[in-house]
Amino acid sequence: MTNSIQADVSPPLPQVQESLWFKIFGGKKALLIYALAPTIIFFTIFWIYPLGVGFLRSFTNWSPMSIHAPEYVGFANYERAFSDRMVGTAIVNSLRFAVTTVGLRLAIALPFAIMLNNLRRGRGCFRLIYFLPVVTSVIAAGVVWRFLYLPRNGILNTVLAGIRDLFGMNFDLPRYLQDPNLALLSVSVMSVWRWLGFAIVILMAGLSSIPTTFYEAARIDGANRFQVFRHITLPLLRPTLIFLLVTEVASEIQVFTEVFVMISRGSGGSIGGPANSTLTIVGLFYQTAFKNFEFGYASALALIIFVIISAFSLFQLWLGRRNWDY
Amino acid sequence: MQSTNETPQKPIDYWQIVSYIILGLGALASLLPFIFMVLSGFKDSSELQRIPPSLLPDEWILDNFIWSWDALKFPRLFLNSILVTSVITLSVVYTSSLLGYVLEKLRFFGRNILFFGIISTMFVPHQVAMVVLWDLFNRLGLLNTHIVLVLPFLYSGFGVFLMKQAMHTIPNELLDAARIDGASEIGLFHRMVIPNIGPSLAALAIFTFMFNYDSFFWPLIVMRDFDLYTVPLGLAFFQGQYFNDLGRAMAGTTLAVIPTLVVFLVLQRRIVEGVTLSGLKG
Amino acid sequence: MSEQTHVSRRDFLKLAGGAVVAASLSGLPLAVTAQGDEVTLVFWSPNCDVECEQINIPEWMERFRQEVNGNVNFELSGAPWGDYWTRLPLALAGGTGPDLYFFHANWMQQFVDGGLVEAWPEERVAQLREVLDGIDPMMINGKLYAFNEGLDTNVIYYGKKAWEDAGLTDDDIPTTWDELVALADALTERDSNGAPVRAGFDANLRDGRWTWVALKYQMGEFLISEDGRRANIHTEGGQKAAQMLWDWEFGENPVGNIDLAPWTEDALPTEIAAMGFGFGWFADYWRSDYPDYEWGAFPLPAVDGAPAISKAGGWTTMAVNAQASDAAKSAAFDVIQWHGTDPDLMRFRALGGQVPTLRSLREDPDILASPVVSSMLANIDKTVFFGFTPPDFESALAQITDLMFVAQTSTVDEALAEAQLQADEILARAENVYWGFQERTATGANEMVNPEIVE
Repeated sequence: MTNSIQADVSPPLPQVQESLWFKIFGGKKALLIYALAPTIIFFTIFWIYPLGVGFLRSFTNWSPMSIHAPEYVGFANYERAFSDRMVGTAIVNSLRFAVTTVGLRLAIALPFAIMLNNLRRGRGCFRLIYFLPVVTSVIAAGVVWRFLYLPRNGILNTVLAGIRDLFGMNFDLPRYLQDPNLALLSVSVMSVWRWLGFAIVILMAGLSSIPTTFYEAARIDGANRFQVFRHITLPLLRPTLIFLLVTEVASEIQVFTEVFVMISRGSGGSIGGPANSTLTIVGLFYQTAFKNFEFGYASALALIIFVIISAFSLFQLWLGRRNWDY
Repeated sequence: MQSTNETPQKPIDYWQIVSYIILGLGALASLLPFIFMVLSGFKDSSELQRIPPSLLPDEWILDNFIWSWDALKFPRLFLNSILVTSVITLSVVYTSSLLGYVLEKLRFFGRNILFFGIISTMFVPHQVAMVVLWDLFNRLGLLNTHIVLVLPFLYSGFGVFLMKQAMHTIPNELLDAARIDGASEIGLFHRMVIPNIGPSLAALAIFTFMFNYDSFFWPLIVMRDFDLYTVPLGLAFFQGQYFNDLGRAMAGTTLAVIPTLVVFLVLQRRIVEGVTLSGLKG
Repeated sequence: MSEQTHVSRRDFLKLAGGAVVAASLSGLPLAVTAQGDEVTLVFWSPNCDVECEQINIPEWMERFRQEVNGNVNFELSGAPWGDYWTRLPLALAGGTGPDLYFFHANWMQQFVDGGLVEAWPEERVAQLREVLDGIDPMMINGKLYAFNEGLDTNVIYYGKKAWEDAGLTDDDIPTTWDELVALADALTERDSNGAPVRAGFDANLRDGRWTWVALKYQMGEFLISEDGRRANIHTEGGQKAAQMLWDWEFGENPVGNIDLAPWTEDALPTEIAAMGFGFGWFADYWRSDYPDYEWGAFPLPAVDGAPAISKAGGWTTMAVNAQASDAAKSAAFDVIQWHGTDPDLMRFRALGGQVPTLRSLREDPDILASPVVSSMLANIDKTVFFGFTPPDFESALAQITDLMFVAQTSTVDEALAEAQLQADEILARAENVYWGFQERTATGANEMVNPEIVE
């Protein structure tokens, strides 16, 4: 062990450091123990132990609401998960939510960031306003949007009804959170709104790291705006975009709170909203584990979530490595 | 920009104007929910039931705010949140920089495995561990305490990653000079390393605070006592009980949002810098 | 949070029975002998950490000690309502639970499966049968784990003001659905587009499954197959019941609109609805939250010749921890038996909007004077209890009206087919069956059928 501890450069130690106290508490070994012992304990208790036990218990009918010890049930929980239509629905909904939300958000954030970056005055002011929703509690945002979306006396439908009557059109007003075809998208829009400023700030930072000489050179070559965007901005911004894409998809796929707050939990007291259109994987997990207390089945679901999210993240990283043609 | 160089004075830049218009509309959309929230808080319930709704209140009433202030026990929620989030933030900042330093500047057996293991927790959804941890805390009788809110979040894979990057900027010569002066390794970290990574520390602190302040899932399943609730939990509980009463819900939400907005407005430059830094490093 | 339980906090308000306290100490209860060593019962009931939701608990505990057995001591506590149903089963399973606890039948399946609740000794069951109604439907495989102190079914409420404005009197009280809908049509106020702005009849569609179940029973069909493994949802009667709801909401002259009103218990007192389908506890909720609301109630209308009129629900008594000591168990059963058969306590409870199970109270003048209880009493013998289903089963039932009225994407048949599929999965998956067979003990059961499921 001693031999393997080396600083990059090891100068000879002066005389003062030869005291016993220093030998015990002053050296690199002491620092290593000080730093690593709590770390190892922490990660063992909060990651390795739960993952291991969770994996083993996913093959049992474990319930904290029973005096009977968990019984081994083989692959029953996994069979149930793969035959349960809810699981399929939840996975599809979560993926759809992540792709829609992140797609929409980046599609808006990118042009906005470019415009902001080129702005002569007022850049800071706009950035401040766009960032405001980011620091708002997700619950607060959800509550407000829920009321914006009210089918009869919500702001959005009032405006729509005004437009409809003004032009003498005839269509039914959308029921944003009640209509299963719209509910998930409506939650998406709220999430786009909330995190837009975050994406803009990061993209702006990425943009400002592109040397201006590139743009000047392009201008001299007579490139138009679109060509500049296509051949300079986009390629040079790629690492930032991929970073945003991967981290945001990984977090949006675990969406729970937004849906929990915005969608009334329906008459069955179950989450998932109209026709399970907003049932997400984490929502299903919450319901199974902490409402029905089916811990064995929930452990199996958790592992399935883990596999899906890891697979999706890896897929994106792989996608990010491919060259875009430019 | 498409203009030729022959024109002596600056031409009107239409792109700028279009940009201002689009960005202005975007800003309006960003602000509109806030405006709606605040205005609704001042309306009485019959006005809120009206179809179509009014924009400004007929009469500005404060009842909703007074009622919500009492019902939400807001100062208490806020204190709980600050307490829990501060402890987490302090711990994450310290443990992350310590580990970042050790992983970057020391060579030891298993270093890469450890680093990889810690980083990988960034990509593992927390839910995987929650059932077992919940059961563990339940057995220990720790559910419904602030300890449970804090314990699982004392370390952060993201923080370690960020801090390890930050340690690149510290020259080894500086450390060696201090060693020659007789500093112990642990003392070296505290006296030489930490003061030299100020901006990164601030970025990590802000980031950690922001995310943990809004944490919801774990508190939802482990907390039961309203007096111990954090802001998001209290607000969710509150809206679950009173969501039919729009005025009260909006007033309560406004009250809950105000402190965060004030903190943001005061620290906005630092916060945006912090986000930028952490985003770029990632 | 309160959503974590199967029974809403609001349902529970009725149990608090308002602010009336049964103070009189008259008449001795069923004889329970005072004897034995000192025993301390750990007793949990919701919110007793602060002040019990059932505010008369400390009083009757003292009465029990004075009148029945002074050797029994109580150690009373209890988490708030929402949390109670998480803490209780976990504590019972973990061996740190109370000896005696407040219980609700919605948790029966989980508590019996988990081994958390002790069955009643046979000789006590026989004693209970002598004075109480409704013991049989509560038996599971020959064992009784808890009995009902009060029963609950549906009534129609109406606002006196709306009723008077329309020139209606007690003589206009409808007895069939057609009459009710005609009345509702007259009470509905519509805007220029014909959309209701005040519902004449709010069928409680936000939680419309119980309206559907009531109508379905009126069609003479059982809800669950005899072996308990299949639900009878997508059936001819089920279609008829759902079609009735559909016509009220989307027919030529709609009498309600789901987007118009919040929950029915709030829509009625705020005059968004003139009449509404409701439960016994509404009356109690209004007493505390809408004291100015003047309302009336009448029995649920019925289709002609219906063998059954609605679903029966129950408010169970306390239950006993299966892991308690023998002495504690015996004392705890004494307490429950005394409590459930005491006329004063049961009268107090019934006045909170429940039909008493204590036979001697069925003729009680105070109880008959309550419009809700008397309206429920009129139908109570024609109600059906479908058993202790898994909680998810009720969520599957909710799909019917959620799909038709909340989502508004499904036709009657699509909604029923989906609910059928979900309910069957849930019933087939369960290890033990605690449901279905109770339906066959209903009064009109011999006239009811196990219907064909539409494939």
